[in-house]
Amino acid sequence: MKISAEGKTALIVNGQGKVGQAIAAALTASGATVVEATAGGLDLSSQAAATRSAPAVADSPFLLIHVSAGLNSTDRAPDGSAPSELDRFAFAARAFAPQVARIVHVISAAGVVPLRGDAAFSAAQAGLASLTRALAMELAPDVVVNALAVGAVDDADERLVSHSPLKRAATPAEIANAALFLADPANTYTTGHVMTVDGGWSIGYARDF
Amino acid sequence: MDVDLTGRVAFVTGAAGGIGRATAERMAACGAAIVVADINGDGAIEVAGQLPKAIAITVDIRDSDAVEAAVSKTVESFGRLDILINNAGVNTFKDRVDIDAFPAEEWRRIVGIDLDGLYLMSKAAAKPMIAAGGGRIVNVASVVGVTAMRLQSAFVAAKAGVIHLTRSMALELGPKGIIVNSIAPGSVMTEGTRQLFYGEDGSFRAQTAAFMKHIPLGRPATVEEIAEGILFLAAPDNSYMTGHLLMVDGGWTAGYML
Ligand SMILES: NC(=O)c1ccc[n+]([C@@H]2O[C@H](COP(=O)([O-])OP(=O)(O)OC[C@H]3O[C@@H](n4cnc5c(N)ncnc54)[C@H](O)[C@@H]3O)[C@@H](O)[C@H]2O)c1
Repeated sequence: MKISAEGKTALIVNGQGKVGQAIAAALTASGATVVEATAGGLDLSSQAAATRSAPAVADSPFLLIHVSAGLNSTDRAPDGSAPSELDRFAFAARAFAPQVARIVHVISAAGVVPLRGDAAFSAAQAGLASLTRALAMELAPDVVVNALAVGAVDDADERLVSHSPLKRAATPAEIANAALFLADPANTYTTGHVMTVDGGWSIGYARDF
Repeated sequence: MDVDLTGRVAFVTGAAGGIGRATAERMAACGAAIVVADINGDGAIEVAGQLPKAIAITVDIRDSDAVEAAVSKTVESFGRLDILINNAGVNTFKDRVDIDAFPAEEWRRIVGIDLDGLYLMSKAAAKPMIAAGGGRIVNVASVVGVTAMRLQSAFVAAKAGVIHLTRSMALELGPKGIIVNSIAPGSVMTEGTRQLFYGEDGSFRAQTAAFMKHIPLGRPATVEEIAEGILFLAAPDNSYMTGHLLMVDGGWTAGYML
C-alpha cells in the first residue's frame, strides 16, 4: 500500500525496532524522506528543551511518528518505576505540533487490554493511549493525533497471539500499512483514535477456553 | 491511499445514499466491480450507471429471501464476492423523544434495518467468502454506538449492537480468512443530516453550532472522508486488523471538549 507523501519529511522517534523500520520503509516507498528525530539533537528532557531543539531537526516535516521504547525491548520497566515515557511523548508532540499536520504514536495493544504479569508496562501503554486522545483535543484542529496499538509481531509474545482469531502474529509490513492509513494526508477526520492492529486479540474470546 | 482492488467484487448496501455512494465510487476508482444495493432501486440504477463496472440490485435488507437472491445474483454476475460493506441504515427523524415515549413501531423499524438487516446480509455474504477462503466485511456503525446520545435510543442501541456483532463475527470468521471491522462515522454531511442538523441554507442551526464545539475538528465529515476509512478496512492491505472499530469522527469521542 502507498500514500501520497512525495517530497514530504516524516520524523520518527525510536524508529530502530522492527516496527519502526517497517513504518519508515513504507513511508520511504511512498516518497517521503524519513528522518530519525533524535539524530538532529532532539532533547526530550523537558518541554522547554524539546521545543528549543525540535525546529532544528528537519525542514517542513508533515508527520511525527513516535514509537514507544517498550515495543523495541523486552527489558521493561519493573513495577513501581515512573512511566517517564509519557512525558517524552507529550514533549515531542507539543514541540513538533507547530510544524507537523499529523502525529502517530506507536504503542502496544497491552495499553488496550493489560498483559498478565506486565502491570507497569500495560498501565504505561494505557497512559500513552489516553495521552494520545488528550493531545488530539489539545492540538485540534491543526494536528490530528492518533495511536496505533500493536499486537504480536513476528516471534513476539505468545500472550499476544493467544486469543487472536487470526491465530498468528503480524508481519511488520502489516503494521506499517495501518500506520500509513493514519499518516496519510488523506486522513483528515480520524483523530484521538487508538487503532488496534492485533489480529483481533483484544476483542474477546477466540478460543474454546 | 493507493489500494488495488482490481478483480475484486464489492457489495455495498445503501449505495444510493450519501456514504454508500461515495464508498462505491471510491472502490470503483480502485478497480473493484460494485454491486450497488439499495431499497431505493431508482437511486441504485443511477449510481451504478455512473460506475465503470457495476450492477444495481433493489433489495430490502430486512427480507432474507431478497438478501439471499441478491448475493446469488452477485456471484452469477461477477463470479465472486470479496467485500461486503454493510452501510444501509436509518435513524429516526420524526420521533426525537425519550425512551418512555419511543414508539414500538419506530423501534422495530430502526433495529430491523440497522441490526437485523446487517445480520441477514452478513450471513448471506459470508457463504461465498468462506467458500473462496476469505473476504472483508465492513460494518458502518456510528459514534453513538460508543458514546450515547439522547432522543434516539433505537439507533444508539442498534449501532452498539453492530459494533459488538462485528467483534463476534471477527472471532468466528477470522479462522475462515474473513476480516471483519466496523467504522464509526461522526457527524457527516449528507442529505439526511442536513435536514436534521442544518438549516435550509445549509448553514448550522444554533444547536448544531453548539454541538460542533464538542468535535475537536469543529466540523462534520465529508462522505469522502468516511469512504477513505471504509476503503482501508476493505483493502487486501488490511490483513491484521480485525474486530476493530475505526473512529472517523473528528475526535468527537476522544473526550469532552467542554
Ligand atoms: N450521515 C451521518 O451523519 C451518519 C453518522 C453516523 C453513521 N451513519 C451511518 O452511515 C450509514 C449511511 O448513512 P448515510 O448518511 O449515507 O444515509 P443515507 O440516508 O444517505 O443513505 C442510506 C441508504 O440506505 C438505504 N436503505 C435504507 N433502508 C434500507 C433497507 N431496508 N434496505 C436497503 N437499503 C436501505 C437508503 O435508501 C439510502 O440510500 C448508515 O448506516 C448510517 O446510520 C451516518
